Amino acid sequence: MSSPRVIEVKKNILAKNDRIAEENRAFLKGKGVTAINFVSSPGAGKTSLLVKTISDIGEKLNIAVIEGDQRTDLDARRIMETGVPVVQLNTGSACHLDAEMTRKALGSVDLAGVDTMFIENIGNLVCPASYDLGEKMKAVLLSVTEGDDKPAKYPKMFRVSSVMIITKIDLLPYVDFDIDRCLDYAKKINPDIQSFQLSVKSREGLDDWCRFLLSNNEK
Amino acid sequence: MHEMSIAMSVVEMAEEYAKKHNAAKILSVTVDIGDLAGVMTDALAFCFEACARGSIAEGGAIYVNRIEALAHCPSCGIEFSPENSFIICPQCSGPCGILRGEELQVRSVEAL
Repeated sequence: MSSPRVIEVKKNILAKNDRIAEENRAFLKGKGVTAINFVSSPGAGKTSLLVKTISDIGEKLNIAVIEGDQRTDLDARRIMETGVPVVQLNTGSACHLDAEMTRKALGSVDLAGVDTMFIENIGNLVCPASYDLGEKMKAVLLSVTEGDDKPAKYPKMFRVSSVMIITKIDLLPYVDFDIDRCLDYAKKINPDIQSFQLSVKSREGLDDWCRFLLSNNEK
Repeated sequence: MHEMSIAMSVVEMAEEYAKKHNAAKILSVTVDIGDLAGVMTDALAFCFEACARGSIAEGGAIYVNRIEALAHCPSCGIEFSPENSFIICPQCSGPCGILRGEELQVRSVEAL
């Protein structure tokens, strides 16, 4: 009778996802495409900011979008109206996009001439933090109608993001959101995080965001 | 819950290694989870049991080694356990690097 033995593994649990993510990364680099993984709670304004960004700088920057939602193509349709190439990924019950889904989406969109690819993740501040999709950077959005302590409550997401965008700042007079406190929490978790504050409605802060995108173009 | 996706990956990896070593039944899997990895032990254990059904890991145990976070300040040289995931030096308030605590790995598989 055989006796139990211990087999050493010592391998990252997400090794398979990370391997595919690296392949995606190399593929995107080869095509000269800058990929940005857009993450946030549901309703922070990811799609609205994308639509506004496309309308503002769509002529200077060729943009394509991968839209991730559990259900419906409502967001993809909003992007489609802007005229840029968009792929809708419906995950059903999965609460985050992963590298394999992203690879399939990258294979179904024409990337010729694309400068920047936005991957709009499922609205969720928890799970997407663990899944590398092959992006150049993660940009985390939070709106002033959420708590200014969001970074402290979801530290992993703020640690893995290079950029944070505080949205809906036109609503500041009506809410108790303290921007300085929010930024302070974020910097304590990720001292290198770059921050933007903007409003799609009032246009405040949009120019800085657009300048950042243009300067981050891989080409 | 993303512990479900993580548990699925654990079962897949454990099966892969067990089969590579000609083992037919997995008795247990040991994983290292850092405190900054954002994974709850109880949720992972619950999901592992569910994901293992129908595989050679069915009925097997999962042992979780929690790894305490450790950060290092390049300015003052001190090491500390970051509280609330705030990676700033308690001495000089400077930015710090993470030495430990982000682990998410399968350490070993016990198999027959």
